[in-house]
Amino acid sequence: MAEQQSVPTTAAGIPSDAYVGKEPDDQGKARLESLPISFEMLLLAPSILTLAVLSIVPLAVMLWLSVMEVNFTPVNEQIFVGAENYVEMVNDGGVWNAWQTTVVYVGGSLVLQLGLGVLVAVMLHRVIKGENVFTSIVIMPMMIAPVVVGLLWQFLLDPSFGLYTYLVNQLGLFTNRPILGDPDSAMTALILMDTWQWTPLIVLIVLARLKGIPEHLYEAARVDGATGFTQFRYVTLPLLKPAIAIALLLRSMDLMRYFAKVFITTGGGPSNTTKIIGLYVYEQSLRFFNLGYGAAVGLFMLVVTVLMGLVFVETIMGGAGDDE
Amino acid sequence: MARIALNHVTKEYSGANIVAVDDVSLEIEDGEFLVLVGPSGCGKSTTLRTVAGLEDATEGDVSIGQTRVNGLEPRDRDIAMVFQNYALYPHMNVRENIGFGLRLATDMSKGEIEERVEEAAGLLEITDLLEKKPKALSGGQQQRVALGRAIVREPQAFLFDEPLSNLDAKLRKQMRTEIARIQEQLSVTSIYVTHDQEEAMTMGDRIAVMNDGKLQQVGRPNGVYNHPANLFVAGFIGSPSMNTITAEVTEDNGDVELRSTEREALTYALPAEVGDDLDLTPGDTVTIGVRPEDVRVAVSPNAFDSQSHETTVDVVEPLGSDNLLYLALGETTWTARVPPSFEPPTNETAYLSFPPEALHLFDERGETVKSRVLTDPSTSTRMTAVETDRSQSEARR
Repeated sequence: MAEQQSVPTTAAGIPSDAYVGKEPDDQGKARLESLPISFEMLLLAPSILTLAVLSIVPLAVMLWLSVMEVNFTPVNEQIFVGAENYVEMVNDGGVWNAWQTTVVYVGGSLVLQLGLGVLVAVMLHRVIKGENVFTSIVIMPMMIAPVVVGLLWQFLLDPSFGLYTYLVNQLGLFTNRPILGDPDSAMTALILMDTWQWTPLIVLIVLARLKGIPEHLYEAARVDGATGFTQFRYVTLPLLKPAIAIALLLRSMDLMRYFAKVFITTGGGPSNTTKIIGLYVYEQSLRFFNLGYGAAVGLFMLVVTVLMGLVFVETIMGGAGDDE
Repeated sequence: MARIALNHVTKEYSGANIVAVDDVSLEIEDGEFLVLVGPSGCGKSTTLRTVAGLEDATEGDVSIGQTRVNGLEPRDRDIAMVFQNYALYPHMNVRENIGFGLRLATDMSKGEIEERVEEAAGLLEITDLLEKKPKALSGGQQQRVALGRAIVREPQAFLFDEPLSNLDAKLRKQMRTEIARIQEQLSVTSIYVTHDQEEAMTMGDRIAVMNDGKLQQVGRPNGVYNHPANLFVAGFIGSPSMNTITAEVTEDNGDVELRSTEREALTYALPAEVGDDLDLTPGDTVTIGVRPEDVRVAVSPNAFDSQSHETTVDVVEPLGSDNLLYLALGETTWTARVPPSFEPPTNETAYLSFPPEALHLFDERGETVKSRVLTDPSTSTRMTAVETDRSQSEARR
C-alpha cells in the first residue's frame, strides 16, 4: 500500500497530482493491525475482564455446583452426583408448579405492561403542552426500589388499614378476606404491582422510538388514504417493532428472575400460588441449602431466559435492525 | 384529471403570528404542469400543502375539479404527493410501498393492485427493485419509488414538494426530464414546488413566482424571464441574476439620461424612440436591469457603435461554454456572459455596453416600467409595459 502512494499517479496516460492513496491515517492503523487482537477487542478488554470476574466465574461455579451434592452438616462435604440433580428436577412437581406460576406471572405482566405502555406512550406523544411534566410523572414508579414497592403495596393492600383494600371494599369486594392472602387474587395483585412499577419503562422506550418516526411518513400515509387507525396499524406499529422487542426483552428477562416484590409481599403463598421460579431457586439454595439442586434449577432457568430472549429478538425484530 | 383553483387563499399561523400564504389566487388548467417557485420561506410549500389538505387554509377556497375541498382530509381529495425526503415506508418493500395507497383507498383485488404496481414500476424502470426495502436503494431510486407511489393511484393531481432537492446535481437533471416526461405522458394536472429557478424554467408549462407569501407573477417560463413583473422576479429568475443599479432620470436639452445615484458609476443615454414610450419624468428614481447575456464587454471603447461605459474586470470565471466576467461598476458588481474566447485581463479597465432593447427599468416600488425586447422575431412578440401589466394582473387574478 505504501508503495502505491509514492508512485505518481497517472490516469489514461495523463499525469495527475490527485491523491489516489488511502486516507492519511493509514499508517496509525497499520500499527494497530500489527497487534495480536483487533483494536475493537482492545477497547472491549477491560469490560470483558470485569465481566469475567463478576459473571463468568460465578457461572462456572454454578455449573460445578449443579453436578454436586453439597452438605454442610454433619461435616462440610461435596459429593459428585452427575446428572442426578437434573433428574430430580424433572421429577419434582414443585419445580413444574413454580414454572406454571412463572408463565402466568411473566405472561400476564408482559401483556398488560406492553399494552398499557404503548397506549400511554402514544397518548403522551400527542400531548403538546407540558409533555415533559407528564412524562416525569409517568416514569416516577420506575425510580423506586423493588423492595420498597413491595413494602408500599403491602401497606396499601393491608387488610385492616390499606388504602386500596378500603377502595376495593367500597365496591363490596374482599370484605372478609385479605387480597394478598387469597389464592385467587394474590397473583393478580402481584402482576398489577409489577405493571405499576415497570409500564413506565416501556412507555419511555416506545416514546423515544415514536419521536424518531418522521412526520412526513404520516403525511404520506394521509395522502395515500390512511385514517387515524390505519396510520397506527400500518405505519406506527410496524416501526415500533424494534422498540417493542427491546422492551419485551428487558421486561421478560427481569420478570423471569423476579424475586424481591414476591418475597416481600406474599413470600410465595398462599399455598404456593405465587411461588415463581426465582423464589423457588432462592428457597432451595439459600433456605434449605440444597446448593447443588438449586444450582441445577437456576441453570435451567438461565437457559429458558436466554432462549426466550432469542425468540423475541428473532421474531419481532426480524433479525434486528433491517427496518430502518 | 382536473383543474385546480385557489381563490384568495390565505394561511395564517395565529400562534406564531405568521402569514405564510397571503391572498393567493391561482388556476391550474387540466393537465397543466405548474411550477411554484420562490426562495425558502416564501410560502410555496404551504400553498401546496393547503391543496393537499395537510394544512387548512385560514381564508379562501381551494377546489379540485368541481369540488371545493376545504376541510376535506387528504385521503378524500384524490391527489398524490411526492415529498422532498421521499417519505417511503421503511418497513415495506418497494412493491408494498407503491401498492399501499391502492390497498388502503380502493377495493381493488390483490391481482389488480399487483398489475398496477408492475405497470408503474415498468414506466419508471424500477421493476427489478420491487422486492427491495427503501434502505437498500439510492436517493434517485427512492425518488422513483416515491413517484411510482403517486402514479399508481391515478389521481386527479400530482403535487410535488421539492422532490429533487436531496439529489446530486447530475441526477437532479436526469430526474427533471424524467418527471416532465411522465407528467406529459399521463397528462395529470401537476403542481411542482421548487426553490430552483432553473428547474422551474425547464419543467413548467407555466411558472408562478412567490415571495413573502404573495404571488408575484404567473406566466410561461420565457415570458417571466423576458418580462418580469417586478424587480424581485427579475432578480430571482435567471442565473446569474439580472444586473441592477439604481439611477435617476435626468433631462438635458430633451435628451433623457439615466444617471446612477452612486456618483459616476453609470450614465445611460436613453434613445428617444425608447424614452418616448415610457412615462418617465426627470427626478424619478428607477432601477436599471440588464441580463448578463445582454452585456457586451470590450477592452476598448471603440469596439462599440453606441455608448459604452467604463468598468474594471474583477474576476473572470471560465465555464467552458462561456466566460463569466465580474465587472466593478462603482460599488456594484455586474456580471457579463461572454464567449469563452474572450478573456480580458483582470483589474484593468474595460468597457461595457448594452442595447436599449435589453434594458429593463423598474420604478421606485420595484414594478416593471420597461422590459426586454428580444430581437429574434421567431421567439418573441414585442411586449412593453402595457403587456407586462397584463401579466401582472393575471398573477393577481
